[in-house]
Amino acid sequence: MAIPQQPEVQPVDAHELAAALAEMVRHEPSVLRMWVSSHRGVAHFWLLTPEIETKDELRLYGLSGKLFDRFPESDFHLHVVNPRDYEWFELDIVLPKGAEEIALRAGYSTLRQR
Amino acid sequence: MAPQAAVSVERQTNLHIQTAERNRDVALAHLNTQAHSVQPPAYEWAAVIAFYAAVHYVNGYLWEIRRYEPPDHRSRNQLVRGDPGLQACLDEYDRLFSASFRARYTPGFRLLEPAAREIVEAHLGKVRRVVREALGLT
Repeated sequence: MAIPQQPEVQPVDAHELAAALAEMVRHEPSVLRMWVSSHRGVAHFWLLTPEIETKDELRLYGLSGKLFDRFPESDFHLHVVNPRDYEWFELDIVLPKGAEEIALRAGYSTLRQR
Repeated sequence: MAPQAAVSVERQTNLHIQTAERNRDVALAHLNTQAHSVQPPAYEWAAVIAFYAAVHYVNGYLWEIRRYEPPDHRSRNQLVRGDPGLQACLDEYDRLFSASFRARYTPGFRLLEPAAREIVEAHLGKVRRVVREALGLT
């Protein structure tokens, strides 16, 4: 593998990454909702789950490797939002401002800004 | 406790590994003092320390294998995801990054002691094991 260069812009559109990740998690029963945000130009994906065990969390983090395999020029981070890890669990607080919800299943038919 | 000096790796590799081991020790020490510290205990900060231990383990690996020191997280992430020698600990590295990120930026992110210990002992432990074995450091 070549040493990574330092592009000034994200070479893969965050929404293209989001669509691919959404397709991967669509049939994951432990992923309830998903959002995408940007931090210093890097896409961050937020996967909301019910309280799940670590082995299930790690399996979800494994999706980042699969996404990278499809988009090897991309930069992104995955966050599994497990309610057990928050002192107070309110989506307005635990998600970054401006995070966009990505449709996963019927009932979430459009992108929705938080 | 710092490891024995590794005679079979580059000096800069060894310095990264020693720094990683020191950071790991700091993370473990932090866990062990939280019960008597602020309330609620700040176990999530062990994940921040642990992530920066993982960064040095990865940097040590990359220096030894590629003579390359990533200048930023982006470059390092690409290599953790793309280097066959590091992929075995990719999921754990990603969870360390995420916990570290949220400990710093997300209000209310509070790891309980079992979760923080798991991150330090199991996840950082996996990164450590993968790197040390790849470098022949036992």
